[in-house]
Amino acid sequence: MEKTTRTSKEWVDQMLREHYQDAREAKKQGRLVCWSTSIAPQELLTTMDIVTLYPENHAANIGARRDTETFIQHTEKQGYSSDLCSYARVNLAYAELQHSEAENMPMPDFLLCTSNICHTVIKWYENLSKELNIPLILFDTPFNHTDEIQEHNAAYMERQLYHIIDQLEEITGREFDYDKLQRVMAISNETCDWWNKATQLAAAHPSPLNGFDIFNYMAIIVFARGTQEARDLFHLWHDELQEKIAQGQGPWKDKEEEYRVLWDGIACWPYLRFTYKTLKDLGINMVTSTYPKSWTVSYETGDVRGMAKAYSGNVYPNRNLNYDVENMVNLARKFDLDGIIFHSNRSCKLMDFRQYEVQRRVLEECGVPSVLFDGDQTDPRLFSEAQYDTRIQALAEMMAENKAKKRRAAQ
Amino acid sequence: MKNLEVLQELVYAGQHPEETIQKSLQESGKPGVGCFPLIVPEELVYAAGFLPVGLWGGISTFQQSNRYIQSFACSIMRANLELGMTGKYDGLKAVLIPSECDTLKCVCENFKVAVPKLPVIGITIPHNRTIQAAHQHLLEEFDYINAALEKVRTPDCKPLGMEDTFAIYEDWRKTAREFTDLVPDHLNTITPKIRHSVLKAAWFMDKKVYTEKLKAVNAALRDLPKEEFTGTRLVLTGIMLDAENVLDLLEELHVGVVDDLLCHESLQFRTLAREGGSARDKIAGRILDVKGVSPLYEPMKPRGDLLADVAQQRGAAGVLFCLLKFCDPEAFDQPLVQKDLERRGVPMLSIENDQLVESVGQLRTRIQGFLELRGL
Repeated sequence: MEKTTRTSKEWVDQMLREHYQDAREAKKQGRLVCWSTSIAPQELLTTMDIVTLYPENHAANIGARRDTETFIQHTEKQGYSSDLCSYARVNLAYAELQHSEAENMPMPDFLLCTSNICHTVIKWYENLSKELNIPLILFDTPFNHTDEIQEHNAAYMERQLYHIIDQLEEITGREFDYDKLQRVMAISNETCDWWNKATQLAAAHPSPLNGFDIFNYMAIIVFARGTQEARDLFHLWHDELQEKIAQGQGPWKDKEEEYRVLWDGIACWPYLRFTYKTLKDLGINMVTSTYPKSWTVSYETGDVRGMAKAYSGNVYPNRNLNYDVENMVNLARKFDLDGIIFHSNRSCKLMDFRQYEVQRRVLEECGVPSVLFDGDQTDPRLFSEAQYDTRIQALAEMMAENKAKKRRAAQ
Repeated sequence: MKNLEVLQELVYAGQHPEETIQKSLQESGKPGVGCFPLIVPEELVYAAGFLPVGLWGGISTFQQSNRYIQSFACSIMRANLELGMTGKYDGLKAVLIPSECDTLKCVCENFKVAVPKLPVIGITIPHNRTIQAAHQHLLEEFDYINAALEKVRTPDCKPLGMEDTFAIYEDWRKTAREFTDLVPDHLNTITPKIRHSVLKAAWFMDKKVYTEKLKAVNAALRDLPKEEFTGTRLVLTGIMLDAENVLDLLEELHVGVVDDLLCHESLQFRTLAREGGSARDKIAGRILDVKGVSPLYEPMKPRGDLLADVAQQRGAAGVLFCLLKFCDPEAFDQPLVQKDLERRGVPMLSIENDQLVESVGQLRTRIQGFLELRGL
């Protein structure tokens, strides 16, 4: 690992700044730029030395700075329904306006869309491709309605990966370097490994991690997964957290961790501070989320079919209800959860429309109470502070009651 | 005209799904298997000896399904879940649910739990349809579907060879295309509601029986003189337009539907089969070739141009985009279709619709305004 005097947090900030700066510079120098969905086979793009940007990251960034209004209004004027995914609405507007106060992405020469996170991205990228008149490479990862990934689906995905390589060769006019792919696959695996190890450390009591930090580090796992720098960053983050555990430090300097919760779904970026502070005031720490595992895309280096399966199987929205429940029950046990917060996110039907049943079955299987609140990832009009506050209060009461019961039982 | 009595029969069948399905099950003696929207290889169900039944919702009040999905899901999916949970599908042996959009994926999962006595056969239609891998995948998916159907097979199934089944379905598709070709010359007789009901009836009847009746209707229409129609000729597009009061409103405003690109109607039969290959190859080929089904990926989105071609070919004055509420694939298509149609000089009006539209007052004003503004 690279020796550094920076903290991992400082390193994240620097990487984020440089990510956009470097991309703009690279575009000026004539390098090819790709816009990609967030959990895509970046290994192929990294091997081909293609500058890749992630509209979901970018839209989240705009959302966190509460700068979405211009973009949302713009797409609505174009005739897009306000019921659509707000990341898509922000990005489709950005593709026309090409300027944001948050950060500026250079415009793409082509697109890579992977359907593992949702079907919506297919339509979003289809529109970008037509509007910008640029090629769209689609990696279609069939929804796994069975408990295991079916072999014919794996074969279809593997064939598509080879087809994507052909498409990349055609777009770049260069030959694909399979030896380099091996190296990129190896680094990507190591990065995921450190990401996974770091996020798992939040299982300690108290958790050394204020879980909302996951949302910051996540930007890096999205855009730099195939780089040594990201691998080293997550290694450092892991070591810092381990150090905090050794010293018995919790998530906050000024408050004890009283309750441990899981956050299901995407953050409410425009209300990140509010949603975080409401929890912290009650001593509630978000120790994990259904998110981290989605970027733990692990496979045997060199195994292209294995890689295809990892992109399909690791992303929970692409798995069936049994998987969703089992995954959450495992997280509840591993992280010793007191409660679960479900974000019913108007932007994401795929994450939302199984929440009610998951909520019931998780309660049934491990007795962890939960609440569900209405919100949105980037459209600030779809979140109510009062509703969130009331739901979190209700969760806190349920968690307090459970703790009291446990104490009484132990006496 | 005797054959126009057959027309009334089909209209009645389309407007009374429950009764028609019961009758079809009784007359065919076959067990039924439900087919969810949008594109499902129905031929496999038929060849396995079942009666395929189209499940496209049909109600608009939801209670039990609210335990599983939020209110911002499309009404077809909410309705199907509700109907399943309230026992309306109890007579079926299984349901096929394709994962063509995010809501379908979730409803497939919820249905397994909410309606435990009805086996769910989840199916995958590949989106990367222009590459060879998709064809291969689809054929392998057919094997999976066949194996799943085999598990729910009962002694009263009447299996039929795939080639014979394909011939029955080809005949239906050809006859349905002939019907939609005849309609523009008989817009006074075949009003929007009649056209819709006739095409809808195909979802609830044995395709062989339905096709014979539709052939009789076509013959009768051919015998009739071409009608002079003084109203406005429009093409419909969307997932479906099933709300009776909206169809009545079109009739009241003297609109004639000269063609459609609706998933529920002509998109099921307008794509021609590929030449050569086995029946299985051709069934797969058609699914890969169909255009204008918004959830299925289409490079460079040809739907707008396709609509403009259809409108021009049919002499239509414009396009009515029937945007199903909370349908994301449709909502992504709509602005770009509008743009393409503007470029091609074809007026388009988009109306948000549901399975039941409570009041058409506002809609009346909008459609009237659209027609008047363009001197239609």
